[in-house]
Amino acid sequence: MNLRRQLIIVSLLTLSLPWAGCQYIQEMEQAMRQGQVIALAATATAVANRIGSEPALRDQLNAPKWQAPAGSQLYVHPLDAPMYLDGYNDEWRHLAIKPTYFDSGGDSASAQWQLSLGQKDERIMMFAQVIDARIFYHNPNLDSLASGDHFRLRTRLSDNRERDYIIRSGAPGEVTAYYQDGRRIRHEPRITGFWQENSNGFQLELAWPKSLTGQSLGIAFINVDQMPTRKESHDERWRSAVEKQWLGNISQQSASPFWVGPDDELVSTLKVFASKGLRLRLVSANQWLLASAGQLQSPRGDEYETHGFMRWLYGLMLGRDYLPELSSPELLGRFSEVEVLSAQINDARSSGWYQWGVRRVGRAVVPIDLNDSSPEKVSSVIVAEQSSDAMMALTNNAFSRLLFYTLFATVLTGVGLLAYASWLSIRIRRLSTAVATAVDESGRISNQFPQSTANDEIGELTRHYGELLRRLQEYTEYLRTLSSKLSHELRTPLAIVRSSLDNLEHEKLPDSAQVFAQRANDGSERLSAILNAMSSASRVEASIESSEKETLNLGELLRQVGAAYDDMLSHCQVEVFIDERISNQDNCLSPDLIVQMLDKLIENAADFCPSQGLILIRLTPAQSGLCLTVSNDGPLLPVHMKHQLFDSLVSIREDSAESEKMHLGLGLHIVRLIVEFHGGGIQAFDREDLTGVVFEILLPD
Amino acid sequence: MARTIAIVEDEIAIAENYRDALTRQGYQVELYQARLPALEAFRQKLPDLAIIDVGLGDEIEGGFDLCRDLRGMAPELPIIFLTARDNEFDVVSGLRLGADDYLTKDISQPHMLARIVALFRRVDALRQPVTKSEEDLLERGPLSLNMDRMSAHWNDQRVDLTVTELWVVHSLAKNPGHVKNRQQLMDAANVVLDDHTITSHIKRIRKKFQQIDDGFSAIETAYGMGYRWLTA
Repeated sequence: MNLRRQLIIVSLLTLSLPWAGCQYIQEMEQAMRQGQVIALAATATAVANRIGSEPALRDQLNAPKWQAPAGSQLYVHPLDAPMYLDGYNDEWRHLAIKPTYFDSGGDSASAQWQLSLGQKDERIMMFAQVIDARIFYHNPNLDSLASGDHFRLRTRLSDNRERDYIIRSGAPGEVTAYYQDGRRIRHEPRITGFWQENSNGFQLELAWPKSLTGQSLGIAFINVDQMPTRKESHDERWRSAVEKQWLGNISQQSASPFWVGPDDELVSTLKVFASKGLRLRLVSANQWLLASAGQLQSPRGDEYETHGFMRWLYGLMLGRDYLPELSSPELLGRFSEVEVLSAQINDARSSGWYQWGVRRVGRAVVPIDLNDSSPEKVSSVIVAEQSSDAMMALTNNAFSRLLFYTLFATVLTGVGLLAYASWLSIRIRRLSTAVATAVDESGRISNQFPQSTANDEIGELTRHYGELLRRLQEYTEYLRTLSSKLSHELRTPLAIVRSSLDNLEHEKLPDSAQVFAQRANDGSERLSAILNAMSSASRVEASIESSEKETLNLGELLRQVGAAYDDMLSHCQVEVFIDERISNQDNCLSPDLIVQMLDKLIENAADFCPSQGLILIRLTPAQSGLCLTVSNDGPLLPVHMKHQLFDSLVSIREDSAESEKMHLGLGLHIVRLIVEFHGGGIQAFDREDLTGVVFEILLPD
Repeated sequence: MARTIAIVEDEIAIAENYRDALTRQGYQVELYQARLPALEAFRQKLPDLAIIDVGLGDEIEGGFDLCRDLRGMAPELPIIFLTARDNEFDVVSGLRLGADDYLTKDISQPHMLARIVALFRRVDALRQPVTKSEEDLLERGPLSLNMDRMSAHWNDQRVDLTVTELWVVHSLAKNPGHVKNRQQLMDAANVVLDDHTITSHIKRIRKKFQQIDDGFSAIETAYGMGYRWLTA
């Protein structure tokens, strides 16, 4: 894995930034929610104290109807819309009223009905939807009061007597009410209504003044499943014998319970406290919704509406768990939520959170301290609700900013690290390339090691490498010049030896001593030859520097030289091949040096070429310049010294007794010097078919 | 009267060996080991020939200085540089200072003696008017070589060749058109040198002729073989 990839992986650590941010936002949201609930509870407490300190309101709350068991009580919703008494439910359908449902309990065959109640302008309105397979209309012949399906409104009169108003009809249409006063049946014109049939049964819409019903109201639908036969009709016993089913909040014997509904006075009290987005509700001890003021914001989002994906992302990142849906107790009028019950039971505040569309709603419930209430008595409570919209918007906003900033930071860090890594890796690669190319194949150290001024470790490493190579180069240079220096130093003592030997020749020596003098002479001559050879490289270098190039046709030169070599070498054949494309091309070369180079190459080739072997000189165009190869049959190059082939004093020949010539390996070294003088390169390799060796020289144009 | 040869050489063993060899040949030899004593002696009496080592003790180029001074004193005096150094630069510097030849120390005594004899012959020839009618003369077109006087002329202008160079030219011009390889040239010049030194000798010879005649091209390189003299 390269450095760049490693740093990219390291840069992934910056992804912890958004995570940390999310954690922070979550905690912030938590704290804000807590704060909101506390604020809500404070508001609710203020309302509760206000109501608790008002004796009139206190009495109101202490009224028996708010203490009675709620099970059979009917809730009369306030109606705002204009109502038309016509027996149809057109208006009712659009009202926020959930009908109360009555049935006989499990018997699907029998009738069932649902009741909606409302009050408007001191009138109570009622709508009943009855599902009844068989409708029996009133037949006065059977019973003068009510013989078929009918409704009863049971009220309590001011003298505490109960009175049942009977709503019956002989046919669909307008209905009215009757009641039994003693033995007489009286008509009550203040109760008006319409009875309409529909496909499942019938529906009844009624209206009467509030004053008629007083505090109590019981409503029941009396369903008759079988019509009595006619002959039994006047039989008084029949009346009780005929099967009648009471469906409603009252049975035949039970007393009419209190009816309940919102209290105007309390509503106006609450309204003072309600503000935008804050909904206050007063819930009675028996959990009826006594008053409600204020509106929550619409459950649909408005300006804070965000894309579904973003919302999902927010939810995911901010850890928003799913909350229970906010219920709508006002539809039923009953507010028996868990917080209310909890507050009533513990007589302490409680709170909760709900989902309301896209918003969340915080709810705080505070019991009203009514001073005189006994400990066992359940208290009324104030419910304050507020959507956390502003807060949500704040956190969403914070989150989206966080998302943006951290994304920006992450990208910036990533890009920065990537660039840094690239820069580092470029520098390291450059250093590595420089180190790799500092010493070429033949072991020479190039002068072009990059200098670094960087202050860091890589710069230091580069400088150290440069220093190392410089020292190495000095040492190499010392080694390269060692032979010529050595030959120079050895020449003086050799001169002493030689001149002494020369003088010795003129002395009278016994024959036995002559032999030794001769040997000493031979030895010194050889030594002299060696010294000449050793210093010849530096002489060649010096002369190369002073050489001048001239324009000549290399092909022509090669042909001449090749012919000369062919004549000169008896044991092998020299052939010259010049590519036609360049046979007429002139080149800027130093002919003396080129010939000297060829001399050395041919000499080398001839030494290795077997008898009747072939030495081939080829000149072909190369990519840029010319390619001159000298190849010969013969043994292959030794593997271990390929790179030192062109160094001075390196001979790869095996010592052979027959070769009298001294071989110091200078030939190929001179070849290299000459090739380098021409700006070219040389390499030696075996022929592909392994029949010999090729020396390839590339000369640039 | 025996000719006097001055040897200025800091290596006493070499100096004495040369002295012995030269004395054997009948020369009178004076030995000097440093520049200043030698110069002092030269001021009083000039030798007939001076063999000077380039490096004299601590003076790395003392020989060059001495050569310059001596040449100032005696324009005609043959001077031979003898040195362990053999690089091109030293050769060129030495010859430019007016030395008549430049030899490496490992030259054999016969070779050196041949040179000394040749140089004396040249000196004698310059001093004396032509007396012998049978001089060793070689005429090749514009070139004329007098091997007795050790002089070369091109178009009747004197070409200032060293003894070694003269022998090389002589060897080439003797048989025009014949290729002389390097070994043959070395033998002719009484030197044991490597091929390359012959190449630089040829180069210098060409330059010397070209100073007189820009169009000089009598010495042709026969690539791979050697050199030959071309007659126009």
